[in-house]
Amino acid sequence: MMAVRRKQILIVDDSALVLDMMRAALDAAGYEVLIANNLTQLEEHRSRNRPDLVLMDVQMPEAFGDDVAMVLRAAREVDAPIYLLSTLDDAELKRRAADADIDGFISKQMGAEAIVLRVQQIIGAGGEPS
Amino acid sequence: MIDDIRAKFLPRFVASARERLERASKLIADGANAAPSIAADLHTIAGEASIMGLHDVATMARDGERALRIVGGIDDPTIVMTLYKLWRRIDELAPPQRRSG
Repeated sequence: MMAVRRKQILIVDDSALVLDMMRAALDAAGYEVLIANNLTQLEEHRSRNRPDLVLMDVQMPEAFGDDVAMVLRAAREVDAPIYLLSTLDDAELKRRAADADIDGFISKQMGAEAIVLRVQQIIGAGGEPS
Repeated sequence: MIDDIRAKFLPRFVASARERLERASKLIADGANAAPSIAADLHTIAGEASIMGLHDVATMARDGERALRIVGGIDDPTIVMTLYKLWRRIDELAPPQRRSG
């Protein structure tokens, strides 16, 4: 039986709790989840993997996520959709995503369950574990 | 499934939030001009609470962050009350352990 590749999601957030909980929720939905707690880890994952989706926090100690996302997109270093994932107000997230020329935003205010559903809308179901 | 995940992570959320609230309270008690630091901690609490589905906690934390960043800074009279309400709500989620002896 042929192994099915699980769709891969890269999440960048300075909160280890957010990363671990989103990894648990998305893993349960069939996705493979890469997590980055800082820009060094982001670069390591980016150079080794081709994620199907990138979720980027906005307010992080090292940089604003939308600035990082803009660099990734402008340098064409990531082909996958890039979405901001933040608790900021929707209007601000919409503006930041547009300014960064990325694909959109997902509000953390939706909660983990709704975020998983939104991810499924964006890239489809996760696939079966191989 | 998501309820199991939430239950698994709740103790960690509570411990993290308590630590951040203790730090914020100490900074205010010391009279430190620490609005950006406290706002960052409240922002993190809001994000973690949102992911956990604790929307009332997230709203309180966001209101506190907004007051610090936009309204009145560290002197805004609502800050201390916001921290107090948050602390009470966190204690409702997981009562603090009492030391015996």
